[in-house]
Amino acid sequence: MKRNRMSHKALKAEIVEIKDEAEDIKSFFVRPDEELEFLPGQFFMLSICGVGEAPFSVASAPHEGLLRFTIRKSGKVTSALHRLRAGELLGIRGPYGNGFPLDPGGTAVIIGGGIGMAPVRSLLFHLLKKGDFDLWAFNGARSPRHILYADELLGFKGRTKIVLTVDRADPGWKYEEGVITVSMEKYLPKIEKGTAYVCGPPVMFRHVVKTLLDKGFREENIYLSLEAHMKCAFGICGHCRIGNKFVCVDGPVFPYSEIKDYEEFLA
Amino acid sequence: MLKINVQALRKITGAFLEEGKTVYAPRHLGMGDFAFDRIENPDEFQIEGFVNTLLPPKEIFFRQMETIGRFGWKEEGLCEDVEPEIEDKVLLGIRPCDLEGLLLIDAFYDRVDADMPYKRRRKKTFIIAYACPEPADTCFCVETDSGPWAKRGFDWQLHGLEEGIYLLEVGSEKGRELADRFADLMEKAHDGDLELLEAKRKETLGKFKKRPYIKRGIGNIKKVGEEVYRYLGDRCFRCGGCNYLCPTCTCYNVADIGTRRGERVLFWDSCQFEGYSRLAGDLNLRPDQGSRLKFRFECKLAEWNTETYGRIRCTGCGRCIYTCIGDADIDLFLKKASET
Repeated sequence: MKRNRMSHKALKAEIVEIKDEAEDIKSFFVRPDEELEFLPGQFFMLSICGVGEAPFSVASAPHEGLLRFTIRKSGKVTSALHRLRAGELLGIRGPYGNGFPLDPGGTAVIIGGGIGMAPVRSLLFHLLKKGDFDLWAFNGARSPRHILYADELLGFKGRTKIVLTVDRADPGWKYEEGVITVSMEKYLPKIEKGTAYVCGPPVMFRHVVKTLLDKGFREENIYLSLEAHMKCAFGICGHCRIGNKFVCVDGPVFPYSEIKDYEEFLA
Repeated sequence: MLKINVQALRKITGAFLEEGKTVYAPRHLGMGDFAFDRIENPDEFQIEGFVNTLLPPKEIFFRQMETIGRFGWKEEGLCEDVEPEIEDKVLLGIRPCDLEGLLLIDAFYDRVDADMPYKRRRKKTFIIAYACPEPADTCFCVETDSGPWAKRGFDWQLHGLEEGIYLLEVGSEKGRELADRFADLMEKAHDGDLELLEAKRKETLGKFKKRPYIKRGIGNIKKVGEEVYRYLGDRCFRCGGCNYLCPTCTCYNVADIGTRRGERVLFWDSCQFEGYSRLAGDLNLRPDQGSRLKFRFECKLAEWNTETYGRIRCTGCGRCIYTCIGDADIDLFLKKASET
């Protein structure tokens, strides 16, 4: 019988490997009991029995094999996840949500702030494998201790341009300093045709969107991946509703044109 | 229309019980309070002589708390699913506002193909509605097109003619079959009965408190200013009562109870609680009570409800009005909204 992922029924997944990524941030590489196909930008519900369940975007691209979740320790479930070791089990269900549009139709501009780099990493590595795009990726974090995936991102050349920036640098930092929009202003050319993909804290969205609009993007070509603390992930529990949309089924990826009136998500 | 008396209704209820059907009907709890309860014998229910039950019968389908999984009993690290038990059931005495509430919850669930206890339980239900003869002060179903008699969603609907005597309106194929089966306990309604029903209905409509601001307020929902929400937010005690008593509220939370061995439970949540909109890292989408009330009122009344559900999702039952200790309820909200 086909499993109905539109329910609270979870599969088992084994943690194969855990990698320290940054301060309070670890990546968990997991192997579910069944293969779970997903698209960049989709998310899964991970659970630990006796602690609870929470939604997490996938950080790996679909071709990378194990599912990779990059998780910041910030609450009950994430703290318990951080205490787990390789070989231990998780509950997993999904994938959920719509994911990013995979054809940028021109230049792809990827912007990740803090832990928001996780879902766009999936897209970035997917695009790098799939096509020959002009691709910009801006990866911003609070400080050098908080930057994600730096070692994985610095090898690219040619039409792939990666910009790392931190709000406050330290003496060893060789890359950009300042909020992410400063780097965008500095490097990003006017874009005639293309798509922007953004994920980060709500406070970042409005500034990033403004910069993208200045650079020539149309509102409907700027995609934001929103965060909400959904309990079901299939449109029933109500926690992620915005207006008549549900972040879990209608999102988590929305074009800016669709959600620009929802102030709570664009603080 | 058919005609039936309460003794015959009790006989039919007895037949349902004998067949192993579960019957839910209003029961007097004492002090004039009524609640839907599982009836063990046909003398136990009372469908008239009170306006409505304390809680809408939605909790029969959407339990206040229920176990959806168990962990630590067989295998470490795995939550085994617990399936809901499904009874062949009869819901007797549901009021039109609460019936419309159930239909709206159905429509809400039908948007997505989710496998949830509510949906499973809802399938095998024979609904006998009771048209209201007498509104309470807080009732406003006449303004929300959901009463005082039901227009859809019932198998049978009872209309009181005098105490213990009802006209029975058949509303579905299943209702027709069962009416045929119990034909010897009913009779055909006469013209005089129908005239009496019309007169009764007019009388009922005349008893509703006039609330012209309800429709006007709903029409203004988009224009309501932040100051109205702030004003109501200051009055709100954040008790969640409006959600818990609402026949259309469906939000729930999930939590694990127990550590090494325990249960995963699903339970009613309230959008009026701070934790409802909390995100990771101490962020909150709706940090103040005004924005939470706005979230609730829009959920019930915003114009997009009509596009998706065919109507607004308030059925005028009035429970949130009488339960609100801060007077931050939908009645005051719509008064303010109508002045916008």
